[in-house]
Amino acid sequence: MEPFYFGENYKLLFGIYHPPLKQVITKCGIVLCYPIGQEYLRCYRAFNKLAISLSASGFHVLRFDYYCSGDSYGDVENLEINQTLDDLSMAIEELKGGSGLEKICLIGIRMGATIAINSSLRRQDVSGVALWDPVVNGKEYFNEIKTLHREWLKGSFSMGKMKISNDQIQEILGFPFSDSLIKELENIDMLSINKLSTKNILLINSVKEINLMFLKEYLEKLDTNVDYQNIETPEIWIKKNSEKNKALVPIKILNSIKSWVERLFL
Amino acid sequence: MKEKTFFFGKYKTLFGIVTTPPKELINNNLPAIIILNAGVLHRIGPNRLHVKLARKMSEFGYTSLRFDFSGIGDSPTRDDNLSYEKKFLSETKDAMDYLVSTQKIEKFILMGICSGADMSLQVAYSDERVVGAVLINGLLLGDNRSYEVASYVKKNVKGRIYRKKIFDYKSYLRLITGKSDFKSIREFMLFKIKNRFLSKQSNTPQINLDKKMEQIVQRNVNLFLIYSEGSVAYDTYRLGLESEIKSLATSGFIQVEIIENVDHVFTLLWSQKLLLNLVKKWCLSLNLSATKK
Repeated sequence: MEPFYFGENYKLLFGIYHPPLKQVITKCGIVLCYPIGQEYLRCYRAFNKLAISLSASGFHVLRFDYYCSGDSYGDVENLEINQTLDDLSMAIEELKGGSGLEKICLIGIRMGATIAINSSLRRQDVSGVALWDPVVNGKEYFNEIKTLHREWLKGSFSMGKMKISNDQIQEILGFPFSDSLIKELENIDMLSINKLSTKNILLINSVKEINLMFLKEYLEKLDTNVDYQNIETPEIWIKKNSEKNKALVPIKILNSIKSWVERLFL
Repeated sequence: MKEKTFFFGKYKTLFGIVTTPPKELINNNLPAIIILNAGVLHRIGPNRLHVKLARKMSEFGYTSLRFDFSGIGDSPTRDDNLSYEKKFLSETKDAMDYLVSTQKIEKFILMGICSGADMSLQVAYSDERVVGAVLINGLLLGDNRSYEVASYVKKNVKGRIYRKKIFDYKSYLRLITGKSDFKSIREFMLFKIKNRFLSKQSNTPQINLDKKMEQIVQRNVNLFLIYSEGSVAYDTYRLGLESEIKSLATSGFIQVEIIENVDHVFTLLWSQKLLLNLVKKWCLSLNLSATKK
């Protein structure tokens, strides 16, 4: 693997490029899109393994941290969804430039999946998008993580208010969410997408209580092939006081993504 | 501030990131800070704390290195059969060797949370280049019985959470307004009943401080022990290590800070800010030439 910094001088992004470990002809490179906040930490290992697995299949793979997250420059308070979309565009250009490939497949989990699909709307070079438990509605997502934060707070020694006084910031499980970020989240609604440029979508649902068939049907109406898979596994992105699922790697899901990518792009 | 990626170690497979201060603040008389993995989390640390620490300390002229031990984050697993402890010792020394050769820095402050704190203590003992260590919620036990002790003290932590809630007015407010977490109340009642029956039967494990700490202090290595109230390490400190540590602290080389209302990994933002300030103040107080902003 080849770690490196790329992007604009004061907004450098950290990325890790995984070169193909096999000499095969691939139709696209792959960019992995992390979730945000606490969920990023918990999905890191799974994405690491996924990247290694895909590069073993012969793909050029890039995973990277958005500005203001992970090892990229910037303070967490300044994270913005619009910026993450620009970051992803830069990552795509970086991979295309480095690999010589003209097409890209995006793979995202949770908010990363939502960022991936929204990024694909702006581009003509995205051959496929894998959506692993995507955030469909930003308002519902924010309410969900607020609830998780409250639940966690109840069972912990920590004391604190949801909103830090005098600042335009709320905090969720260790990460600040500015008012502008919250507004951006609340504007997210995958059911408001009215045109897709990508023809191939993999939609993975791992949460027992959730049924994403409605999303599958909606996306299919936009003239795209949707491969929907229900693979029940623990929600690896969730922070709880009993940390049973920390660093879990759901192999079934990784294998499913790998098979889909190989079937379409090898 | 500038950050650079690098590979190091015997096989050049260990991955890390060096944070260097702005040119005008570089001071190679200062020790470099090496931040060790917390458990299985990669080098950015819980709640991105390691990144925040490294960048904060660069404002005061400190160079920092955060890296992944083999098998964690982006460092692959090792092929040899080196034991867990030997592996971490060897790899931290490799990190120090890297900074000696590339940054010309020869003294080090180690930092770690949880297992990172425990490893920091072990490395501080075995390598004289370590002049200080910040041990955040480390168990710091001798005789490798961490798991046994941790499972015992976890019950104590649970009991403390419940007792805290009994004395918290918000709990009663929730009861009156019907917003109580009845599941937790039920769990507390069961916990009390179970403990009443089991307390006389369970064996309290011996909790002993790692003897290496005494030897480290004799070498004039500065140690900063930080405990948060919500950590099992706090219980280990209170239930067994406190008097030994207080006795060693009379040497002037150990500082202990206990922070109330904070969980094991400093999740709430105010607690992260507090932690960063405590570490910064302690580093600057070490009577080494520091460049102040």
